[in-house]
Amino acid sequence: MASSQYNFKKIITIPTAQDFIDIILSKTQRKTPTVVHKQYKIARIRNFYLRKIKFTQQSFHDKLQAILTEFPKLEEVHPFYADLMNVLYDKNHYKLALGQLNIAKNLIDNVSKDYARMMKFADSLYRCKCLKRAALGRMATIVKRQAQSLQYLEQVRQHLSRLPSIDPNTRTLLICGYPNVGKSSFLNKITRADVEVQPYAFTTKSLYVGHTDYKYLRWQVVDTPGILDHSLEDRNTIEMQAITALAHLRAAILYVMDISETCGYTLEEQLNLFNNIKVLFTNKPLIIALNKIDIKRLDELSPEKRAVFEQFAKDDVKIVEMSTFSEEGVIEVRNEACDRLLAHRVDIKLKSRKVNDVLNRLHVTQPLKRDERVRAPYIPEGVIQRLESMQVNNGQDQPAKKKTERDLEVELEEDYHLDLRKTWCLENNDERYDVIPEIYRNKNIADYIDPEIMAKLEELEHEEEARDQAGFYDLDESEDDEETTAIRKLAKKIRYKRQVIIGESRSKKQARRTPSVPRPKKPIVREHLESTMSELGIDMDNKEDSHYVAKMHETRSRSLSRPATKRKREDSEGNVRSSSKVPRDKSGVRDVKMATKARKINKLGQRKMNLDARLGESDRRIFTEKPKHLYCQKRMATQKSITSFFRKKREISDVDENEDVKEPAATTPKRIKTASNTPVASPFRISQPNSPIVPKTDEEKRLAERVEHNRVVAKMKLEAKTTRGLVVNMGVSWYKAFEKEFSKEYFQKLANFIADEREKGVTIYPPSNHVFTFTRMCELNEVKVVILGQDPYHGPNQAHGLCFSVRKNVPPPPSLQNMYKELKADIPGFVMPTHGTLLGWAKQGVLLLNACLTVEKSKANSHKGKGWEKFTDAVVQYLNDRSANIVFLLWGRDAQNKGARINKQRHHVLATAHPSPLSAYNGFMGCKHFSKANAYLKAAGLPEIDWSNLPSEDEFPLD
Amino acid sequence: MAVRAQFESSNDIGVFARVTNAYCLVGIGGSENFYSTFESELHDHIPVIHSSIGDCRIVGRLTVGNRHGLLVPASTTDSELQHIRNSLPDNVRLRRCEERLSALGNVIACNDYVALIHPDLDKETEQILTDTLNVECFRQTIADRVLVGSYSVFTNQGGIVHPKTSVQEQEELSSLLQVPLVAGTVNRGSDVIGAGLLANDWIGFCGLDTTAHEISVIESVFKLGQHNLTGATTTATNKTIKDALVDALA
Repeated sequence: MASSQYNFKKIITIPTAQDFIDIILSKTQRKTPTVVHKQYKIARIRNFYLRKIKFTQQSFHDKLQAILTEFPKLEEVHPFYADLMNVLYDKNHYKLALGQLNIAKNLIDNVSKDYARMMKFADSLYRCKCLKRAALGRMATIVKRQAQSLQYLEQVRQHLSRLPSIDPNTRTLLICGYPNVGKSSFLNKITRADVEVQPYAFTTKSLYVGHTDYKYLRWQVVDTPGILDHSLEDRNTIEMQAITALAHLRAAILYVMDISETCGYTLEEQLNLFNNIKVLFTNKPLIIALNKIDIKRLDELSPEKRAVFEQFAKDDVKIVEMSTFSEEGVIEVRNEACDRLLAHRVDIKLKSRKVNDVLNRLHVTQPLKRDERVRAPYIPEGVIQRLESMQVNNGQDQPAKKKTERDLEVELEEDYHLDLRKTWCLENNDERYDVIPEIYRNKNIADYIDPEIMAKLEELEHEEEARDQAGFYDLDESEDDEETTAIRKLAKKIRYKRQVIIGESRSKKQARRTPSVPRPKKPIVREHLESTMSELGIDMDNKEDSHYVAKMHETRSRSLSRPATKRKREDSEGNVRSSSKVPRDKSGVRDVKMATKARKINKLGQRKMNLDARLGESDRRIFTEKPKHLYCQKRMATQKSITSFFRKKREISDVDENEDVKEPAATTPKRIKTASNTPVASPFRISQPNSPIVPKTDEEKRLAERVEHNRVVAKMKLEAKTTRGLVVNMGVSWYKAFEKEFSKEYFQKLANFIADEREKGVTIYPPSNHVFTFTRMCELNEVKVVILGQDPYHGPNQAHGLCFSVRKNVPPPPSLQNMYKELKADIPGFVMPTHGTLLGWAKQGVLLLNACLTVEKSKANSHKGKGWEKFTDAVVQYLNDRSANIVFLLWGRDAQNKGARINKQRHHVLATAHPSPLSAYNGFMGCKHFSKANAYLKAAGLPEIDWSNLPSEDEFPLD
Repeated sequence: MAVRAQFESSNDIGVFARVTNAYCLVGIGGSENFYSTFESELHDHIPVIHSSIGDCRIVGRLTVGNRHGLLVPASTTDSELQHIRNSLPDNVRLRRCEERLSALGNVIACNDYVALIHPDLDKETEQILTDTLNVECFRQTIADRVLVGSYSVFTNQGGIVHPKTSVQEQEELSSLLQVPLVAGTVNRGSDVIGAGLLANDWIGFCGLDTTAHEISVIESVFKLGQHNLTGATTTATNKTIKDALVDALA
């Protein structure tokens, strides 16, 4: 109940400062790890000590917080308790003590924080330990300073727990008055409080509570210490407790007076006190109890003294006499006080809204008569008789109990069944178990229910009788005239004839021994029908419009027999009905004997297999336990790696901006154009075709590249079919750049020509997988130097897709020899190699391009004008347009013609005579093209070509 | 006298039975325990009838009746109707009624003279009610609840209404019904009076959870058992106890 709200007994004990420290430190020792070694990692050692500091701080914090929350806050408790605590413990002191603890708590928190910070700088176990010692020491000191507060709070706690548990809101009688007037005796009389009673003043030094029962309710009686008559400021703590109770408890006040004056105070003094503290009685039921009437009664007083009390009576203050000694009037005083208080409280409560919920349930409404109609209860006579007999017999000798359905059910157990008709009350109870159909003549039996059915039946019967009598049913039935007789006769004859025909047909069928295939019913021939009928004597002339003729025509005009809408269901044996099949192990077996024999032979046959424990075909087998398509995953370009999700947004935007800047620089050649003859250094020499996805990270870039590469390779394979095997083994970047050329008409023609030739058995050099070797040696955008040739060598094992270059084991041809000679003269340190393979150059970005890429065996220039020139022109054009700072070495007229359109401002063109022995000395020897090319490349900031780097083919396997 | 009973461990016995001054309908349950509670108390005076309505055993909520007649909903089958007809005394009228609010027991509360009905009940049903049960009909709510049959029980002697019914409303209802009324509960504080309590002019049945206090209120307001013979209304609550209760509860 409400009293539990003010239970101060549950506050836990507060230890003294020293105990407090000991408790916490020993707890720290017990609950944190204790072993640490200096060879441990410093981080671990730091953590070890840090944990101790934190743990100590947390323990102090928790304990102090518990104290702060458990002690009642003066602002939150009932004003009675707040005032009482102020009187007893001094509000300021109490608040200060709690405040000090709060400060201590915060200080400890700060110390812990400081040392945790410092712990980061400790570099050895010893320093860590010192820091811990210091931290714990400071915390202990902080608590030690609170010794006084802790001690004070412990005293308060002990006192609080001994306070009587007074519920300030319940029904309370408050006894007050001068010391020694009999207040405590009165409390002892009406409750079982057993307060100490002594014949001297201030026996009671604090508030006491007892409880008494009256009118089904429990009443709290509070005994206060005696009060003397002086001003509020002069009152001591004991008196102040009484004053507090008077001021704050909404109770009935019992002001006890001793008119015999044996208490040591005169009646006047007692009256003065009453007047003095009268303000505290306002709005409370007040009773003046005159005690000790065993010594002196009210009417024994002198008249002037009695006049005072008469004055009270006029002010509506109840005056009651009692004696706690003789117990005279004690109960009356209590009852009076309780009644007044209850009336007072009910008055207040009736004004509240909540009361309606209770009141309506305590209220019995009696009806107001609204008319003169009598609405009497209806109670069977038997019930009243039984009730009366019960009253007379007082529940004795009741009539024998009837067997109920429940008794029957228990008795019969399973045999019991609920008999609904048992309770039927019919006019004639024999009919109870008659069978009544629910449905009669397709109608619900209920529809027949008619209370007047018997009367109606009788009426009908009368009517029928009358009809009968009137001769309604006496009509003559023999109305046969000759015509009908004739018809009947004829019909009979026809029927007979029909039977005869059917019989004949049947006997004919039976006579035939061979089985016959049933045929569809044959139509009856008209003539036959007519002859038969006329034989019987029916006129069959002029039957053109008769029904059978019409029908005959009808059948001729359209087929009435439609194909069956649904096929007949039949099994493999042609059975229409479902037939159970013989199990396979029993089919073809004559009898049981044969079956057992068959089984035996079967087992024997399987014995070998079973002995070997070999797998049979019926054994369960998993062919691929981990099918690849379920266990590996190909990642698409659009799929993002996990890491890409965690990238900062800023980074992405940065990258985007960079891309924006780069993009135009790469695509517009304008900037390059401005630098007229001087080489332009640009890292993006060839613009890439824009890919739709802008790769962000290296990972993604690589991924995108791989995907793109795979796509191109796949496409190339596809293209190989359309070009009939011509375009194979091509570099990806090249393929991407010249993809469109392959689908052009000239290329298709070329491809067809070469394929046809090859199919004819003509040998064509180089072999089909080496035609595009130049594309595989370097990426398209890495080309630095272009050397143009005419067509491949037409001897065996020479050409391999690079101009001037031959395969291993073939001596360098004369043109190449001349080039080697010029190189030797031009590049210092050049050693003429013994082989003629120029793969080393090609790898460095020297494009060795022939004008024609194939040639027939032993027929030089045989594929000229077949279309290769257009393709190689496209290559040169591409390099010219999309690239910059390429050195074109154009040797001989053909090459110079081919390179006529090269933009000389953008690229560097070096032209001279062909290195063949026929023209080498017309300018090729001593042209120093190789060193000039390097010089240009160097000026353009590009890597130079190492012309002497010519390894043999073994180091670059071609296939 | 009020008897505590339970239907298959449910305290809502008013759902499964209907008691009037002339007959008693009991739903068909798994065992005869429930039926026999009524049988032993009532069998000597009025028929106690096993019945179902539309194959449901919640006969108390689906039917409404008094000593003059019985109304059953449209869901009643013909055979059920026949069975009830055969079991009822001849002077009790039986009518099947096509009402949208088919739980007639929830929407109608009546004694032998007056009926309170749900405000949305059909005009026709009202007419049937007047003819069959021989009652005056009043469209009413009880404590703002429209299910008058669920939240009140009254006989010719007295009645209990929903605990939230205000005093004014009680007075109004009381003068309509011409019986003393009290707001109360059954089954340890349940406000669905109709489900927890069955009563006629001389006996009452309530759920097994009903407390002694609730039973004493029921017995005194319905004038059951010994209260019947004394005749005097002992329901006038004591002033003392009233004050004490107001102080303790409010």
